[in-house]
Amino acid sequence: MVTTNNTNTYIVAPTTWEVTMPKQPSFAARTGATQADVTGDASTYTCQFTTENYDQGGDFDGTSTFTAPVTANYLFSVSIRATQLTAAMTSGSMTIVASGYTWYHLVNPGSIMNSATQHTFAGSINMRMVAASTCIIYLKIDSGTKVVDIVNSDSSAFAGTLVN
Amino acid sequence: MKTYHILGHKISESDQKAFDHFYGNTPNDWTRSALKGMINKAKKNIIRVWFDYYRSKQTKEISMDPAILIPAIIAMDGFHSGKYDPDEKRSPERVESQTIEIWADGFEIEDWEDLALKAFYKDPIAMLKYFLENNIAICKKDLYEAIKKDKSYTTISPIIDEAIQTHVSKVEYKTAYEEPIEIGL
Repeated sequence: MVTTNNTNTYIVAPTTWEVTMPKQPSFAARTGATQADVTGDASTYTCQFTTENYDQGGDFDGTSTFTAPVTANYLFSVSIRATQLTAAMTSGSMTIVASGYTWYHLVNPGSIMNSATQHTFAGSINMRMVAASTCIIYLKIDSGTKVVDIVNSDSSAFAGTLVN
Repeated sequence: MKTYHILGHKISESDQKAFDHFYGNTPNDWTRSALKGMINKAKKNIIRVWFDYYRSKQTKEISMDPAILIPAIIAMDGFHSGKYDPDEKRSPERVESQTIEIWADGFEIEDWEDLALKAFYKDPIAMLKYFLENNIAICKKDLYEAIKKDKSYTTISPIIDEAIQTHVSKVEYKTAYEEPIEIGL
């Protein structure tokens, strides 16, 4: 089965019957170089994902922002590997801000960091977005100094897809 | 750089209240962000569809600067675009007059961004207006649904604008933005 209009093929099911939707808005991106000294002193940092794995609809700006092309439900997942955490940093949050809503993922970095002073913030959320609204990821670590880095493009990534 | 000539856009007081309920920025800021998203989508899709063909026609080094690349692609013989247009159309319910001007100064964009928008969208300004109107319609509908669930009311006006004005006038009223959802890990 192939569903098309005059210009594009939207739904494809080849003879092996796996269904693909090559025009469905969907993206995945990783961080590039280390983002150094971005928070720790309660600064709110806009996380950057400059290495795109793919961006089917052209809706991710190649840095930090996904803009919903249509009003629909979207699934987002994010992981942020932070390093240079200290025991003094007793509160922090990774937030997903989308279409006027803010979801806070709250942690105590000082108590859960590993021996290499690192922690990977991770979360996913399914949310309705209004067309032309944006989804952006922020990181904020409190009670220390501005020494926290975001590292490792293998474990710091942002992805999203239109679900329905 | 050029000013994107939008002849202004007015919204009603209830439109503004409903928008403020869900957003921490202004309708102008939101529109500016939406316009950036439209430019990004137009740029990426034009390059994705046409870059290989454009490259096959070039004998010299190719600039990847969009200020050079986008006009060059659009100027190619044979270039055409699908002229993207939203299927959905939605406007907010209003009984109040629209008196609040939110796009008075227009929006500054680069020349190549203007070209990209006009090449990719059937009518970029209509699209931008649609995005904002659609957003306000959804904000008003969602706020009205929240008001209907508020057990402190014994009666609620069937007119959305009236119900919103009553609700936001309450002393204990807080915007959704002031009461974020928190998920602890």
